[in-house]
Amino acid sequence: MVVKKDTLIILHILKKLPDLSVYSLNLTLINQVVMSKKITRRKFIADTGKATAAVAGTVALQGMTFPSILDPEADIAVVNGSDYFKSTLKAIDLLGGMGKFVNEGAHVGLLINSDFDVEGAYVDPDISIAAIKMLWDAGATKITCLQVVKEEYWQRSNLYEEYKDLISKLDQVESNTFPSEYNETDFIKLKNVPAWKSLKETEVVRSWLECDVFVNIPVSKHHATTQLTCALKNIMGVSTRQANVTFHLGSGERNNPDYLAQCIVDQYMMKKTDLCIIDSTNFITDNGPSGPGTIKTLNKVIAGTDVVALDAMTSEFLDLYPEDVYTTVKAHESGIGDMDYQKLKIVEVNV
Amino acid sequence: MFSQMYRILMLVLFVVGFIQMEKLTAQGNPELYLPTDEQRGNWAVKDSVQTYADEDLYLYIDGGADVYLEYGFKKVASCKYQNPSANRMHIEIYQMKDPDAAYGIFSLNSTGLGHPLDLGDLSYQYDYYLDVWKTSYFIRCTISRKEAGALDTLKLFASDVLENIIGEGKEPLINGIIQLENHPLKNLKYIRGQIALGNIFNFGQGSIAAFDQGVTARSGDLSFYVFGYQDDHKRREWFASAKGKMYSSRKFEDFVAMEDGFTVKDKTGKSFSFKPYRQFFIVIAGKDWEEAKPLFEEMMKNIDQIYP
Repeated sequence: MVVKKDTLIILHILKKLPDLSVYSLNLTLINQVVMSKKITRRKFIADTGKATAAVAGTVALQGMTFPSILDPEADIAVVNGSDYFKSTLKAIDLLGGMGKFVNEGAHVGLLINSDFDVEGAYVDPDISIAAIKMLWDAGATKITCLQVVKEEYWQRSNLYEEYKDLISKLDQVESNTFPSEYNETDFIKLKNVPAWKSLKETEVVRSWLECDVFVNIPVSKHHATTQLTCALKNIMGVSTRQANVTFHLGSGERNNPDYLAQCIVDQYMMKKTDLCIIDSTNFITDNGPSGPGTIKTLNKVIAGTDVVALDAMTSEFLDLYPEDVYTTVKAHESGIGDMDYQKLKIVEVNV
Repeated sequence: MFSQMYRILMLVLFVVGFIQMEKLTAQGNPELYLPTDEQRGNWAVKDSVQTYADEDLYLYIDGGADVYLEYGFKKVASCKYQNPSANRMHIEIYQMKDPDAAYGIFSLNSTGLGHPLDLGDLSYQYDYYLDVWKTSYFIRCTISRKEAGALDTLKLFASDVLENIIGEGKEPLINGIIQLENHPLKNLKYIRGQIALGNIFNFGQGSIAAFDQGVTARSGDLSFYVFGYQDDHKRREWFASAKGKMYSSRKFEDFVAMEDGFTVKDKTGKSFSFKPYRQFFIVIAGKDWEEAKPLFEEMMKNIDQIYP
């Protein structure tokens, strides 16, 4: 029997990191809970409404500092401050430190939403620099930017000179720059994965599936088709342009937002996110994803591991409800995470 | 003497005719509108001319192709230039399916902060780029560094492009509906679907759908929206859908049915009044029903005049 190399790699990955079974398990669990408690979508929405009221309470407490000694390991860390480098360090500290996510000798795959020119449309480079500093400090031996991060992006930071040695040590998937095309060295084709609901085939960066630790660094901003682009939507950064075009057109109806969202979720479930750091400092609230648009300044850096919860939380920064965002709802339904983020331990501090 | 004049006249007519023929041949090939070697002077082509047609636009625009396709996109020609001082210029010529589509994408891209120029059918100059609408074309010229004279060069290049585009565009008729006395408009945008609407205001996913065209603008604290449907029947169907969705929306509250329309309030207490009329429905944000009524009536009169 001839087994293709790609198939072997997928099998190896699934064996090593049984993400799919975890997600399937989560989905089963959610279904069981829904079935046993007969929770309807209406009830779920009503419940999340109550949760939103709780958010209002949290907002009212902004400015209060919750010492990390009392909350040693937050599920979601929210750090307010205008020094984004420091905010990022603090956010990871609140989650338990980078050592919790990265072992000595780890290969880290890093996905930064950097490829836009207009303020509020890309991750502030100070946040990315803080992340790579912590990753190297924690013992990573290889950090691969899964999508090309141009030198001019790093140069926008005032910290560039100080950290350019760390930046120069980064690897890049050189061929994954817009509009990226498939090649066997850097990409892998995935087809007909049983857990997928809409996606039939995609082409993703090989290093994304092969890395030991996946760190996703998006900016929470407006997107015309999906309303919000944040952690979940950012995953389109690891696939070829051709694959992404099928997300938009594959349903047979151009720009079906429901289909697009499900494709994003289907692709996302191929790899667990070990850490997500979100730039909610300055972001566009319209004319997204490329801008220029109206900039909202919240000066928040947010970190966590549940990307669905994080997307749900940040959607509210754009005056959306989590259930307005199809990617969030579908990722929740697929068991990738929990959109009822208020269930998690949220620690918010000022620096 | 007469025959000599006749020959000169014929020659002039031939030359003019030849130029017009060339322009006509170029119609539909936006790459042929790019400035020629002579027109560019010391600006050299940096990368070769790129063109993308129809859905290949996804290979050109990283996030944002959807909205061009929603309006009706045909082809784009893009070329980058560089001068001896390493300043770069980028010219993009988008050929849309019709003048309304080109106007729409021009209006959507308008930030309201541009300085009007006397180029094409409408144009604005921004900090480091200028946008022009002419008939079925939307043209954007961008400079990477604002050195002395750079913006003048942009204008010159834009003029070179425009010289090749025959005809004159008129703003979409629907724009006339929101032209009201004592309400000067800002940020007027012509839209053709939910993606464009999502760029302007989020009524909630799918709350307002299936419209053929629409127009929105602001006037002081007020915002106006007009959505046009194929016919009155379609409008009834989708107005009922919008009504149901707004009734159950978490984004809005205090739903009250009013005559043939309804009102809701957003979380800040701002009123949104919805009123159907013929194949249109109108939304006025910032006034409750009674305050909105005179404006509705003015808009309905406009509808009757524009669409007799």
